[in-house]
Amino acid sequence: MKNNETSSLMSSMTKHPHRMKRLTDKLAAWVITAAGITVIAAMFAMLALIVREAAPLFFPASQAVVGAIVLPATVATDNVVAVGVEADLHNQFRVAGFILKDGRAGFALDQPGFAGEIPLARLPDAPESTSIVAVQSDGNGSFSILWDDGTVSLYAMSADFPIGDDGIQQASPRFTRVFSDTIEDSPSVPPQYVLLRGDAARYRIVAIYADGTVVEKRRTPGRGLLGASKGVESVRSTRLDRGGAITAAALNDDGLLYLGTDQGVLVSIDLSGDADTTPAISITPVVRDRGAVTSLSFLTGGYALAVGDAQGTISVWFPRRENGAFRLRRSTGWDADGGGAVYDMAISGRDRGFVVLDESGALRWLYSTTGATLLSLPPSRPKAVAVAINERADTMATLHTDGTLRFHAMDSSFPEAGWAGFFKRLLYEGYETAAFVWQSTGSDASEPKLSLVPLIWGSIKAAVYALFFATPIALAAAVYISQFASPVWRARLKPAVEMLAAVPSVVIGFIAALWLAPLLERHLQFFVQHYPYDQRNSLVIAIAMGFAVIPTVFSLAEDAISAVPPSLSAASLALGASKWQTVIRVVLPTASPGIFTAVMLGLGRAVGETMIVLMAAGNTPIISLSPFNGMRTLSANIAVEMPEAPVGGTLYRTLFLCALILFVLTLVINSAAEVFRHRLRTRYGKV
Amino acid sequence: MSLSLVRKTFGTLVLGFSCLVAAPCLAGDTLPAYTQQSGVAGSINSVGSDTLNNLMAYWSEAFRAMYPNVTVQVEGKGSSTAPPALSAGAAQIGPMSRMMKASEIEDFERARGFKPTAVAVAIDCVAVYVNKDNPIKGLSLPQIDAIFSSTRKFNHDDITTWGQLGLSGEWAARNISIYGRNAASGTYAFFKEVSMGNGDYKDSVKEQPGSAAVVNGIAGDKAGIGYSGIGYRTSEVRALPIAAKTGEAFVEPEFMNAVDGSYPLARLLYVYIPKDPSQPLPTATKEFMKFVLSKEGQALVERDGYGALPAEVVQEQLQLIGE
Repeated sequence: MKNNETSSLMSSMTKHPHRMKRLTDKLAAWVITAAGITVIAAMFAMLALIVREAAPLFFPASQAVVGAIVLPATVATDNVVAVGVEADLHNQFRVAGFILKDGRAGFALDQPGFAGEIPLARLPDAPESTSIVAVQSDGNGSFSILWDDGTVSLYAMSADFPIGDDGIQQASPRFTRVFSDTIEDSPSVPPQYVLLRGDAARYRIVAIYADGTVVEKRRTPGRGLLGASKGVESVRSTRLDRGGAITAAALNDDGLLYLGTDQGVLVSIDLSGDADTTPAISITPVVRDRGAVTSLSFLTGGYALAVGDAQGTISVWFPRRENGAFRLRRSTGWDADGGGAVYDMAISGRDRGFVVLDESGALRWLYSTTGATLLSLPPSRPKAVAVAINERADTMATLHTDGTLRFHAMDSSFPEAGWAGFFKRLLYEGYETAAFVWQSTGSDASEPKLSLVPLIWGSIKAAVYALFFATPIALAAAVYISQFASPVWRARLKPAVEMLAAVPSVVIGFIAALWLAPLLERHLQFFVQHYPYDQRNSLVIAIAMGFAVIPTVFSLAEDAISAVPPSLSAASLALGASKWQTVIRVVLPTASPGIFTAVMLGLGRAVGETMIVLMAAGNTPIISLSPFNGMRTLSANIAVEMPEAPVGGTLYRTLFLCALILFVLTLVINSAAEVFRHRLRTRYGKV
Repeated sequence: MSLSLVRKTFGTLVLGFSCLVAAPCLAGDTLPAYTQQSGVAGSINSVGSDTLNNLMAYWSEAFRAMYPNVTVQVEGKGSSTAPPALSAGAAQIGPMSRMMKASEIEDFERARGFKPTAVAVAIDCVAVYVNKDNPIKGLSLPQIDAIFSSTRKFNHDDITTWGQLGLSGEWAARNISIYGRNAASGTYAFFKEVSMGNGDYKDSVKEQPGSAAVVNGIAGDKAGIGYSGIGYRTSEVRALPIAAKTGEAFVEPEFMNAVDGSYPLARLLYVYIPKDPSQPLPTATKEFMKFVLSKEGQALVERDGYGALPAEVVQEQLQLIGE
């Protein structure tokens, strides 16, 4: 039976011995080549994917004029007192609203087939037969209006874009009155500025008169169970007698009022306290050469203030703590670009961006956190006299002297990111000094802080600390096993040490965080008492990650040491050198290229390690050398923040950038290892 | 934006709790019991808040006991994971311990064509926890701000040791070891907004992936302090009473105090549902939400350590889901 089989196989092989061999050969070559190419291709595809996701972070902002509407001839441009703009979520429809001096308002639709008929109607709930005396707006759809009968109202522009019964999407824009009140006890002349903030239940009205009188009226819902129904109204007034004539004003939700004057100073009046207190007033010079402040706006969040002056300079100011007190200080600024006084500003509702219009009609789109000029548009002809953007800051409307409204589609392209956002020390709102900060999310009111410096620092710190711990142990073990242990033990011990690599890193991390960290803290009481000591610290990481790295370093180093020709050490011993001398002077230098590679590959492994640092390092983005505090590494950061990053957003792309940096870091370390190994080998390899 | 959010939360609380004065109705006595429907089947995926994770598990367990044909899967990594999952249709319900941000609502609307619906499901007191051996009596909000925040918007002097909070002996020189949640957490955002005036966390805050990890960290770290929902209280840690202002009396994190507004870190917990205004909710989702808002569902809320909603608020929420 067996003979039969063998003989038939023999006969088939002898029949086509060459064809068969060639076929297998070809097939194997093909499969192996395909596999090799797949691996390389996969690596490049992965790299390409990461680069593709991260690259847009560095793209410049852009804008394009996407439509223009001519306002009705009856609406002279100088009758338009305010402009607002809205767009649908897909940026298919844009609608601009404008308010006229006589209290009428209309909407211009940027939509295919729009005939140009713009019906005008009085603002809803506007007082009878009155006209508008003054309007204040941040250029983003909210308008504080003073009527000539002393009524003040806050109006908001909004728009829906519903799909009608006929399946066609339509724009339904409107102005709504948020609340309305009157100013009591007002002097005979109307106020120069009125600023309104809040909603029907809780609001604050500030009226500023030419003689420096500031009147505040507010409505506060009472506290407690029945508070929602009973409101408290209060009025107080302050007189301002310093600083010059008021030329600009801004008010935030907390009741912080800023007034700019013709002498270039900013007067801050803190109205946040109770109504029976005297508000604190402080004066800060903000303009060089005492030029006039011409425009003031709070940026989103109501903390930082953008200041424009008569020379065309723009600066951002916010309170910073100095010697225990908050003082208004400049954080960033932009020089004048020859376009004359700052005329108008429009504030983004989503980030720290804002658009500035100057006297010449030139537009600049600026970003306060990074101090960047996102975009600069030269004066258009005819020139722009008013600007508005929507809350998302993806659509802008400009009103021009010839009565046209132009619609601009805008793409800010991740303004909080970019080179400055990732790698520069920045002065963030409320910080005392410029710093590298990673704090990616929060509410819309706090700006994202995306400095990668603490993360790169953390990755390197963790890896270096781990190697400090792992290298001596791994090398000693390698020398012992290859040079001192008996062959029997060697055969047993080497696989045993290498078994360490099989322990999943999540297990090591778990043990480190819940057992090792408290243990170290108990036994390092001296440091705990005398130094800033964190339980999850670099020592814990050094030990835990050291254990993860030891098998890598050990295994490669042991191979290198074992590969040293026995003839060399035999010669050394024969010449009378001790075993220790032989190891130090002969074996280790000869094996040094391999040992160096082992250490570098260990470093590469440590930089990419995630679970141990994630669990035991506390993920604190600190830049410090101290072994007693933790770190946040690039890899742990990706793991921690991935679930919350909206696809395509800044954070999402920033995490890809972290991945790219990690990739490059490992690549550089491994390549460096290769280069050094080559050099060392040519030097020591001759023996 | 954020201010109006707080006001909204607060307003709803205040409104809802006027019922409490009239008649003590905390245990949900006045809530209608849940009546089992026939023919309920399907699957419910829940992605979102970690604070609500245990509670979601309780609810889904009880719900599955009634409807064996319904599968409920719960994943709780943080409130920020709910909006993307709802937008993509990967989840039918999204528990969140904060309200959605404007940008999240927009992303949802862009994907689905309508706005998501927020249904309040429980009351939470975000508690500031310390180790059980820590003798400190309580903290004021400015002190909390000075411990946790690098910006210290309330302008209190920086606090880094327990001695600066008045502790003596071995505690005096001890550094405060700060635990917090990761940025995906709604509790992280809430704490940042209310107790830090939208300031920033110190970079020494150890970010933990879950509420339980925060509490465990403090349990094993004598010098630890951290924050999490009251539902995660254990015997190893102590939830501190808190004063809204310096010099005011400390208020215990209890639901009566949440209700009258005296406990400053009180909030509502939500479940977001993608309810298309032109269509009724899928039966399984609707029945689940009805169960959550029933007497039985609210009893589970209390069992998990959170506060049950008053009947009036429950009525409002039922209208939101189309009941």
